[in-house]
Amino acid sequence: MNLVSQTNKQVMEKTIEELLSTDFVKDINGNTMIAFNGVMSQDVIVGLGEVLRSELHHSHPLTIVNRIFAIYVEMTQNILHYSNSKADSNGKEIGLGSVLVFNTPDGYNLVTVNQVSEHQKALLTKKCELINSMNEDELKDHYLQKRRQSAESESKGAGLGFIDIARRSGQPIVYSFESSGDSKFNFYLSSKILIG
Amino acid sequence: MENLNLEATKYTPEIKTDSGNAEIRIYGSSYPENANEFYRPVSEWIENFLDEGNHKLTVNFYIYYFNTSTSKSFLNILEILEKYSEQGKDINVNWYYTEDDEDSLDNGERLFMEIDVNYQLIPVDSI
Repeated sequence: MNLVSQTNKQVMEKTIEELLSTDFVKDINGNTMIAFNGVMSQDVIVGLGEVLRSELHHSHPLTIVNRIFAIYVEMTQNILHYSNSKADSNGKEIGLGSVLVFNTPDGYNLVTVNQVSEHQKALLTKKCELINSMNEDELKDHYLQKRRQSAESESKGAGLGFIDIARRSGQPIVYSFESSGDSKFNFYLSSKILIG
Repeated sequence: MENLNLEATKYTPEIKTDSGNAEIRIYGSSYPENANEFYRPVSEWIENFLDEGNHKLTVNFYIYYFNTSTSKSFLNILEILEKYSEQGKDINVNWYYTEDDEDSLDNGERLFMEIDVNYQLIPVDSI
């Protein structure tokens, strides 16, 4: 599914208002708890994560708080490591992108947006479709298989993030791409946590 | 042998090794930017300790949250322990989990899948 983009802007050029008014985000129909667009550094992830945890802690048991927090960390660290647009910080590359957290009538919704290349778009589509086609047992086998593969690689991430997101949310991964010109795309990713 | 003594941060656990008692304690939350890099000294310490002729080591994990890249590093540590265990060393791993979080046991259990090392999953009130 491709969103029709009138602006053809990449994520970083959009204002929060523009991100919130995309069809992908409007469909979520929730109250905004967190909205950030910028350099997704570890410090930002930790800081916003603390805010999120303490907000959730007021009204939910630890199991729910930890599930949402875990999904938040995987989604935001994906941007930090894999966003196609990066900032340079003392010689270190940090991914740029956006994270939005919504309180919805039936739970919570986390959305991240970051730029990806055409190649990444193809890989992500394949990965998300595979995960969405699996039941709980298949997801567990897939996790073990990926873990064996990743044990031999030196990558920073484990390649297990999307599996973890799907497992903890218990819901399909919802995603979409929007052309931002120059064969680049804005990758919209949404994970829903149902409560009650 | 010199011990590791790392204080906890918001996103990395406290890590203390005790060569005298042949114990390691890893305590806290873990989602560093680069887990490989963060846990490398721990793997190295374990290998050095057991290569120096020590026959026994107990590793205690009290972790209330870890991200997927940390799980890869933990797996790496467990594989090292598995290797020494196969050589006949007395290796024990204790994974403490809290029943306050219904997923906590499952998260621990998943870590030990396909790992052949002596381990215990131990419930505690809170971590």
